[in-house]
Amino acid sequence: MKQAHSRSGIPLQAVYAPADLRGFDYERRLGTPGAYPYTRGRRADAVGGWIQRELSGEGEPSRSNEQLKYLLSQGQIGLDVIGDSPTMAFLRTQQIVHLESSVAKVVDPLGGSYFVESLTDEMEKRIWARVLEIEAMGDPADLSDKGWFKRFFEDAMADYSKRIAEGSLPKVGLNIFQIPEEEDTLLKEIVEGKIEPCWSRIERIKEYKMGRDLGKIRQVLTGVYEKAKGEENLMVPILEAFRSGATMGEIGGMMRMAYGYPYDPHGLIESPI
Amino acid sequence: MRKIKVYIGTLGLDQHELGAVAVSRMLRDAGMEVVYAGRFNLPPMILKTSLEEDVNVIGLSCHSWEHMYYVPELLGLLREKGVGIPVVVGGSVITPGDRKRLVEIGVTAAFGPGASEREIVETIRKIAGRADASG
Repeated sequence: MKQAHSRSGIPLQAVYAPADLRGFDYERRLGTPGAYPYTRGRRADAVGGWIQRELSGEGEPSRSNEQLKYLLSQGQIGLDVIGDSPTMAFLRTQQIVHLESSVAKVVDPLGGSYFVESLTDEMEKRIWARVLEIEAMGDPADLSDKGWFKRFFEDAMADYSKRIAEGSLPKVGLNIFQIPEEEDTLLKEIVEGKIEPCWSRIERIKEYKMGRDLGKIRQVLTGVYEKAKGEENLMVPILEAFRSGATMGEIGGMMRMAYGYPYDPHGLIESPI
Repeated sequence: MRKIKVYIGTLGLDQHELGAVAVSRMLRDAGMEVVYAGRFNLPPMILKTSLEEDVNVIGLSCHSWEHMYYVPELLGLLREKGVGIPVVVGGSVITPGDRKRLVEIGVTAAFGPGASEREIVETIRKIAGRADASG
């Protein structure tokens, strides 16, 4: 039989047994749920141990706020917020697994599995080997400047997309079990629905910016710029800038300028200092 | 013969660069020259770079909402200046409806999330007018 591999290339056996975890020290390697090093979860009981969450947050803040409240009203108990991910599709699936199966009544149901634990050990071994390899190559800052890390991720990505193209990495609906376009209608209306950008928000921000003490804003932003140019702690001037009403965009712009980049990467807004 | 030269960049505030990098590699490996503009590009900047670099095709990576705003603007700008460089878009967020609309308004090709490397490379070669050429 052909050797099977995990997605990251770890060879997989057909069967895992106690021999694969020989010498496995439960307390040291795994530990109890709710106790350090929290390998089996942060809570010792199953209540609340299963948190339904999904990436949410889209468009401008008031719309995201509305969406988060809606998800909470529908029974979501954890929020993962990201800038631009419209969602609602997976909450019910999680609720079915949580409420209709007994899996959520047990903390960390797969903990101690011969397969899971030996795979975790193998990953740990490989991660350490890679860390030592990188450390042996010299100063990480130099490696970063030479583009080593960037190339590393690009290679991984190119390899991933090659495996999808060749079909060696199956992705249901993409390179295996595809649905003809005319039959692929589920949720399509939602996908095609467009959300108009909230133009009024731009006006509100403009008004907010004009209503501030501009002399003070210039002064605090100059503070951020100057500290960013040196080696001093940036937190103090950043907090002062926020307290005086500067925006995150303005503060980020000061830091970009200090590091030799344009204030606005789009070249539309002039630096206030 | 000069290599096919392709502009690749992302639009506006779109932070998702991996697709653009992946496509750039595909085109490079297929023997094309890529002018990689990275992130934060607006239509006037795209036009300027494309003219300066004398590219055969403008390729835009779309993984955020901006494409339905900036692509029409870019096409308008190209028409206004009488520039005939074909525009190609590709990305995870391009729906069948977007594809139809973008082609209607003048985009030469639009690739959705399932487009294969072969499809992308061959289409760009064809658009650049070198269907038989090796690079």
